[in-house]
Amino acid sequence: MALRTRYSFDGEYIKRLIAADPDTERHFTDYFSDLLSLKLRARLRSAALAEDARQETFVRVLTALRQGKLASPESLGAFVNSVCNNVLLETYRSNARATPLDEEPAEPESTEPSMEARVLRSEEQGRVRDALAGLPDKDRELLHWLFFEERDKDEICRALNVDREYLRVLFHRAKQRFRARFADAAPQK
Amino acid sequence: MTHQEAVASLAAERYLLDEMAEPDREQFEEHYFQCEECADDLRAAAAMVRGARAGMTARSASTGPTGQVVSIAEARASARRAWYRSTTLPWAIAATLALVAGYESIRTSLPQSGTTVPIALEPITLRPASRGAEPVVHVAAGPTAAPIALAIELGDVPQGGDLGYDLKTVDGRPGASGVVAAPQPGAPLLLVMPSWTVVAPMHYILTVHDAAQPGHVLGEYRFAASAR
Repeated sequence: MALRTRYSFDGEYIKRLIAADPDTERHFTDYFSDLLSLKLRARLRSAALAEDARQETFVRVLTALRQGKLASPESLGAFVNSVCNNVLLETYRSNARATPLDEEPAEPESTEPSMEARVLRSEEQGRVRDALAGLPDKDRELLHWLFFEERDKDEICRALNVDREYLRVLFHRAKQRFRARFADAAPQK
Repeated sequence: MTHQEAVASLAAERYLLDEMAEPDREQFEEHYFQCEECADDLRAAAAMVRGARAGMTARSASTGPTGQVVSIAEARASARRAWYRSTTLPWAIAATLALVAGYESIRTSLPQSGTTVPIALEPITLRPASRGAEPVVHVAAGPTAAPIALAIELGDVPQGGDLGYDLKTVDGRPGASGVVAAPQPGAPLLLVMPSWTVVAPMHYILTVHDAAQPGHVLGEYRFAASAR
């Protein structure tokens, strides 16, 4: 169940990327944006830092591709991940030099909405809302507790009379049901 | 990590629920950056989580009473504490904390903390949106999280009058609103809000106006909320 047009990460794809083909570039950034954001947001507490790191990763990957530094086209995903790891390490170091984490300075002034807000403003917002609305009440309630209220998971387990392992199963089921509805509502490309 | 191992161990679920140790996280990341199926799964799940964090899983849109904390804050608070639904008093108390956040008021804004000792708050100073960088408010999660204290620099305020405040996300989602007594000239307005009023990560705009003349905006303040 693909949520977007599938491309093979082959030699032709890399050539198009190096040649700055707009469709390929769009696919590349679309494909890796969420993956990078998931990884970065789990490690960088500032949305702005995560966004900067994501952009930096893209810039470095594209630069490296143009310099012929990718060993094989099939390893593009692993390459993006490893570049992101380097960017993360540099971000940690640079922040450690600048200030202790608990004295983080104000982020640069920005009138841009957060990463989440920007994404949710797009057409995806409607699809997400519809897909969530179509979930059974129990799924929505679970997701609400987990991510909106950020309730303690042990507390959720007690409320549902389940253990942590089964909580994962319940979450898995909710995720699968969401994914099916979300994919159904995906625009045809 | 192979795809089969990732599926069998519910790796995506553990990853999203933040239940993985760092080495496992790294292994799973190495995998999903190369596995189109897991990447698709995670992208959909990420959209789901964003939607849930944005409050799209609420049973119904909450409009809330005018002049009180509404939408995000109300939905969060009412879902957490059934007794909160029956009264707006705690919100009113929290919203009217000006200048000094007294012990009793702080305790009111921490209904689940169970704390019976005074706590120190470090207010984040908010200056008018045109001055300086956007401050960052670190928001802690959990029932024992300390409230958020904002020290708002005001210009000319109506003497002895009331001020209205309106907190919204940059994309217009209402957060909290209310009316508080204006501070003494030259003193900042100290606004103490329960931590769940502000959702991180998000950028917010707080507008302060003359309560007697809602069209008379005294200041607009921007800040970013970041998870602690």
